[in-house]
Amino acid sequence: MSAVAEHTAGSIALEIPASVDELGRVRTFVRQHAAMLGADDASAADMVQAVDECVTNIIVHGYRDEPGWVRIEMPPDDHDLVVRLSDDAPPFDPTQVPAPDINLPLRERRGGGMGVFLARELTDRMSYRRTAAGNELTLVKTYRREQGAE
Amino acid sequence: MLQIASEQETTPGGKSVAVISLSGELDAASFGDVIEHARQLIGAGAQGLLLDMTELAYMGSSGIFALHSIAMLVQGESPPDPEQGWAALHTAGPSSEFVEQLKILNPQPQVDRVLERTGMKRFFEVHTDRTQAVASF
Repeated sequence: MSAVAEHTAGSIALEIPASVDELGRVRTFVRQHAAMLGADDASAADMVQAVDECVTNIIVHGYRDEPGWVRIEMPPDDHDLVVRLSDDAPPFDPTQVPAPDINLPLRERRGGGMGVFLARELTDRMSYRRTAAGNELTLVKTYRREQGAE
Repeated sequence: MLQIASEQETTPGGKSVAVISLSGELDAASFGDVIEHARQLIGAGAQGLLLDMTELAYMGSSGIFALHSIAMLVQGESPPDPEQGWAALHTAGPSSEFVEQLKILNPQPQVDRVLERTGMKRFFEVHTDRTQAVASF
């Protein structure tokens, strides 16, 4: 399967095979469409990283090298950057992952959970639901519209 | 896409320092290459590593894993095995709080923010001048 981009009813979506080699394409997709929606650079950069971290988690921890897909959808919204991630990996709710203690010394700190932690820090809302199709994670970032954007 | 290049330098005190220049984007697809590159330089005798991040436009949390692994390698310890899950990091870590053998040069704003937000910045010296950075080992 190769990456597929779709435009339906104002929503823009990209579907990728579950491979870390696709992450660059995912970041470019979010970056370009955030700019197209008129989001300011800082908000767009935050969303790009949040999506990268969550899609990495789905591929690495969800599919664990098994074949699969991840759909990245950006529905239109007047005030927020919204990205919806869907996959059919085993159920996993990243909103329930405990935050790592970033004050621990290097020797004692736990590596896992840093990606989810960053995604939470960089967005305003993150919500999860399990659907018939699989996992669905929605990331929301309120942005400042760049001057000149429609 | 990430490009990795390295150069060998010698400090005024005679220490061998490898400068690893990263350009492009460091993510889950490329962090293993950075660790392997560092491993080879350490195996070839580098006593210190300077990670030049001047041209690194993006770093995900995989980059934090790479930094942690390289910090362990340069201190003569085994890095965690990513195949065992990233939580493997907590099973072994560098022996000291501050890692003197690994330093960072010119992290750009997005990369700097990741270092700051994850609490990693306090473990490494961050420099803005390459000559001074090399001399500081």
